[in-house]
Amino acid sequence: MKPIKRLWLIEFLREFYEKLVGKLPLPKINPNILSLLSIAASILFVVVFGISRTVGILVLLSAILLDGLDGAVARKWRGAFRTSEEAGYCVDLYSDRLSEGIIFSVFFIPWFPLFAANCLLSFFGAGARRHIVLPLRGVFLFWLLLFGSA
Amino acid sequence: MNTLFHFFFNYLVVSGAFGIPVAREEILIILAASTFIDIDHLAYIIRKRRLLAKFNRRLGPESHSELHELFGLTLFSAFFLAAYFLGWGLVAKISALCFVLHLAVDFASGKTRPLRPFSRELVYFLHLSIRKKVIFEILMTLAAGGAFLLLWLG
Repeated sequence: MKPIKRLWLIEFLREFYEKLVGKLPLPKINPNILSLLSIAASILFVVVFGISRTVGILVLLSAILLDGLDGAVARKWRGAFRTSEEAGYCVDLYSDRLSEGIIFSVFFIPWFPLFAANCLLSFFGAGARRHIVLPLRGVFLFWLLLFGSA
Repeated sequence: MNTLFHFFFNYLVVSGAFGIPVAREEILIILAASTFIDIDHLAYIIRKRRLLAKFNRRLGPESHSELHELFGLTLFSAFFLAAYFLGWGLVAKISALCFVLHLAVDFASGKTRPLRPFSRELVYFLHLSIRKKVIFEILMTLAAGGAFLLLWLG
């Protein structure tokens, strides 16, 4: 299997972020479980947002943070779990798209077309062994914070 | 996960996300959107029925097609988007949510190859024997069914 290539800027930011997060006392937990929790948080977000926007935004933030933590946890505890790097990448990429799909099925316009584009990028990116995706949930969170509604 | 669980679970999430009560037509949409993708299991069973009967094989990740994975997500997201712009707004939204939830539940509870056909890497979170898996599915379906009934009657 060829290694996954990322854009140099993304790679630089990712390494910087993971160095920063790597200094934190990260729990010894399978990073794939964190990706799964990110999907669960997305489901909770779409249910809770209609009841309390503040709690909804906090849940969305936790989904994004959980997704961001899995890479750092995987690097810190490399070799501690019986999962390959390839499996970790599959889980990370697919769970990100599922999480986005759940959120943007509810907040459809203008987000769902961007999600569909992200799926295309992920699919063809996986074929070309290049990681090119749009950070949609982060942008959506800023959108919610700035405008208060989607 | 079984089709009944998908329906109960999707109903609960859709009613939470889009508001209660869910109208009768919307229940039909949830039912259809939660179950149609499982037709690819059926295609596998028909194709491999002799093999399944002879060797008592389980319905593993090979029993569902790429439609249960990133390829299907990409394909159907374009389909739901087209449905939305053709004027089927709520139908597209509910169907998209049910479809993605179906994939998410199957991803969490079963074995998948998410990046097929580009990667054959098999990923799973639960590795249970057939007996334990059946008990797990029954318990989960009963729990989701109970919550569904509570919401339906309440």
